[in-house]
Amino acid sequence: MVVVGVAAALLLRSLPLLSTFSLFELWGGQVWQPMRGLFGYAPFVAGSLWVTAVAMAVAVVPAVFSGIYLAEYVSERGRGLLKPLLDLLVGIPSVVYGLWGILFVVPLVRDWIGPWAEQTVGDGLPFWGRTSPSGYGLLSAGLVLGIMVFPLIVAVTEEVMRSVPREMREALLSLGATRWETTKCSVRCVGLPGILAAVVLGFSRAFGETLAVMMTVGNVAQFPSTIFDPVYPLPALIANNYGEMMSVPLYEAALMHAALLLLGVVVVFNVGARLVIERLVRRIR
Amino acid sequence: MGALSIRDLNVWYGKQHALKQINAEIAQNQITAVIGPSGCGKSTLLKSLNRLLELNEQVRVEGQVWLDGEDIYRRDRDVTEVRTRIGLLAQKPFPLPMSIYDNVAYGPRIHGLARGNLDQIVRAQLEAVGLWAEVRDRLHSPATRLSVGQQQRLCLARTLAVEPEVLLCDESTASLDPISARGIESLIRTLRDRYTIVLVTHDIDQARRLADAVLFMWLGELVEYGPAQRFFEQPQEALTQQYLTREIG
Amino acid sequence: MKQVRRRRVRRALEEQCFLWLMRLSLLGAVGVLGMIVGVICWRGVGALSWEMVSSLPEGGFYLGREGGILNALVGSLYLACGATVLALCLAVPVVFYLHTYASKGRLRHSVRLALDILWGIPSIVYGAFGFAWMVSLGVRASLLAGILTLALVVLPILARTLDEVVEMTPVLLRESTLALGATRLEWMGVLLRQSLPGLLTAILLAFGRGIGDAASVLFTAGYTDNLPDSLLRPVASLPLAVFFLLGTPFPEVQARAYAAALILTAIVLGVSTFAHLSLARLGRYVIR
Repeated sequence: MVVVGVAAALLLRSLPLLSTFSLFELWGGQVWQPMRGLFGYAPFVAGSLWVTAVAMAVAVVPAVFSGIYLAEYVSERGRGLLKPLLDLLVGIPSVVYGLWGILFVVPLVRDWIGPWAEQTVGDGLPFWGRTSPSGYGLLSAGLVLGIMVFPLIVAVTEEVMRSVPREMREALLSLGATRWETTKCSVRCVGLPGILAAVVLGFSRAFGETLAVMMTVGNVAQFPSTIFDPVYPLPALIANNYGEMMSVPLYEAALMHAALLLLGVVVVFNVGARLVIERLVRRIR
Repeated sequence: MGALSIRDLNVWYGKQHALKQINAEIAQNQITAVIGPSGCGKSTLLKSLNRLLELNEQVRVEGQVWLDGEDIYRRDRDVTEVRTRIGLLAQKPFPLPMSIYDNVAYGPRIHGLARGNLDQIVRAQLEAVGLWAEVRDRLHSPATRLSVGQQQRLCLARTLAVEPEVLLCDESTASLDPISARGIESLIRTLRDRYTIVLVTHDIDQARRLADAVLFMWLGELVEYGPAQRFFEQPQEALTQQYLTREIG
Repeated sequence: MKQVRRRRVRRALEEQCFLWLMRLSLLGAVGVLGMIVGVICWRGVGALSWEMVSSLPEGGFYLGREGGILNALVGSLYLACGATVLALCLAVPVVFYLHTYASKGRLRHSVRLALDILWGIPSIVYGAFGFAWMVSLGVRASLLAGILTLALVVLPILARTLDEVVEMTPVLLRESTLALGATRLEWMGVLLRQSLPGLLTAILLAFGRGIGDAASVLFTAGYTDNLPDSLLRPVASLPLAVFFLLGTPFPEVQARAYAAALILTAIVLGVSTFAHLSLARLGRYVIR
C-alpha cells in the first residue's frame, strides 16, 4: 500500500512531464537539456545499470564464497569474532564509503589500474581502452559500490547456509562426501533461493545508492564506451539537481519521473526475483 | 573385511567426559547391538566410529579405532575414505532434497563408482531394500514425498550404494511406525552376511531379536560386552542384570 | 579401485582449491573493509578537535576559518531519534498485531512481502517522495519533513527485524501461556518481554541506518549552520556535512570532512557494538 502511495505521489508530480512527452521519447531520448526542454533518460538509466553491473561483478562471487566459508568452515569462535564485524560494516554510512572512494579508489584507478590497462590490455579487450584521466568513473564507482554491498551479501548468505539442517550435512558426510561436496550439495539443494535473495538485496542496494556513487562516478551524462568513463546514474541525477529544479519549467516533474523510474526498476526486479525464488523453493520441496 | 577394534577410546564434550576408556572388538559379518539408557553415550560411540563427531567443535576424541588393521584416527588418514567404508543410517530418515533416483545415485556419482551403469546400481540397491516395486515409475519425483518408512528404506539404499563395509545404525527404527520398523529390522537381518553392522538401540527386545553380540553402556562407560546369548542369559555384571530386568534405566 | 583412488585425490584437490579461493576472498574483503576504517581514522584524526564537535560553523567556516559541526551533529541526532521513535510507534503495533491476532499466514505473508519491497526501495526515492509532498503542501525543508521521510526509510528495517525476532519465539511458549488462561492481550505482554532484547537491537540498527542516511534528508531536511530550534526549520545532518565540506576546494576544509566522517563512523560503530553487547546481556532471560 505504501509502495503504491509512493508511486502514485511521484506519478502525480511527474504528470506535467508525461503530458508533454510520450514515454517513448522520455525513456529512449538521449539528450538531457532541461533549459531547452529536452529530457532523455536513456544515458542515466544506462549509467545506473552499468555501475550496478560492475559492482555486482566485483562483489557477488567473493561475497557468496565468503558467506559459505564463514558458515561451513570457520570455527565457532572465529565466527563469533567475524560476524559482529560484518554487521558493523553493513552499518557504515554510504558517505563514508564515498569518502574512502575519493581518498583511495579514485587515485588507485587513476595512477595504477588506468595506466596498467592502457599499457597491457588496452584496446585488446572491449571496454578497457582508457579515455578518462581523472579516475572518477564507472570502475571507481563500481568498486566502491561492490565493497559496500559485500558485507550485506556475506551476512545474508551466511545466514542461509547456517539454516541448512544438520542432518543433511551428516547424511552427506557419512556417504563419504568431502566437505566441499557437502557444501556444494547444500547450496544447490537448499541454499540457492536464499543466496539469490541475498544477491537481489545487494542489487537493490547498489542500484539505488546515491551519495557514494555520486562522489566517485564523475557525473557525465553519456553512454560509457570504456570502463573508465564517467557516467551519470539516476540517483545522482536526482540528488545533484534538486537545488535548481524549481527555476526551470518541467524540471521538477522530470526529477520526480526519474525517482519513479528508479522505484519502478527496483520494485520490478524485486518482485521478479521473488517469483523466481518461490519457484525454486517449490521445485526443491 | 570390516572388523572394528576400539582401543582406549575417550570422548569429551567440552569438560564433560562422555565416553570413558572404551575397549571393544566388533566382529565382522555380525550384528552388534549397543544398548543402554538414553544419555549413556551410545550415539556418541557410534558417531565416533565414522568420525562424524568431529563436526562438533567442542568434541575431543582420544584413543584409537582400528578398521582392518588401520587406525581411522591416524593423523594422515583420509576422512572421506573412512566414511565411505563405514556408512551410517541415521535415527530420523533424512532423504536429500532431490529425486529418489538422485538420492541413491549421489554416492556412486561422487565416488566415480559407476560409469555408465548407474541405472543398474540404483535399481539393484532399491531392490535390495524392497523399494523398487513401489517407486519404479516415479523415480524422478522428490524423495520427500515418500512415507517415513519408505524414506528410511531409501536412506538405507543410499548408504549401501557407496559399498561400505560397516553399517552403523543409530536407533534407525525409533522414529518409525511398528510395521515399518519391523521392515527395517528384517532388512538389517538380511544384510548381516555382507556387512558388519553396529546397531544402537534402547529397545532391549530389538537387541534380543537381532543381535549376535551386545555392548552395554552406562554413563559413558562400557559395562559389559559379549555374545548375545551369554549376555542375555547369564549377564556377568549386576548392573546389566538390573537393566535387563528393567529395574534401572 | 584404482580409478576410485585417483578420483579421491582429484576430489581432495578440488576441495583445497575452493577452500583457498574462499579464504582469499574473505581475507581480501576483510582487509579492504578494515582499510576503509583505517583510512577514515587516519585522515580524520588529524582534523579532529574539541572545537569540531562543540561549536557551530562561524563565518567563513567553509573557507577554512573557525568553527565546528555541532549543527550537523545535533541535527543528525534529532533526525535519527525522531525517525526511529516514529517508526517504532508504527512498527511495534503492526508486528505484534500480526503475531497475536492475525495468526493465519496470509496477511502476515503479504505484509512481509510489502516490507521487503519497501526495504529495497532506495532512500533517494523516499526523499523525492517526501519532497513531492512538501511541494504540494507548500512547506519548505524542515526537521519535521526530514523526520517523516527518514521514518519511512527506517520503518521497513525496524518492522522486518522485529518480525523476525518475534517469529523466533517458541510455539511452546505461546501454547503454554495461552493454556494458562491468558488473554491474547496478556500474551502480547509475554511476547514483548520475550522479544525485548531483539527489539532493542532492531531499534539500534534502525538508528544507525537513519543517522547514516543522506539521500532522503537531502531534499527534505535541508541544511543550515544553526542549531535546530523548531520542527519547521531546516536542520543540518552529518552525512551532508561530510558531503558539503568535501565539495569545497580547500584542503583544510576537506580535512574537516574526514573528521566529520570519522565522527559519523564512530557513532554508527558505537551504536552497533552496543547493540551486540546488550543483546548478549539481555538475552539471558530469553527462552530459546
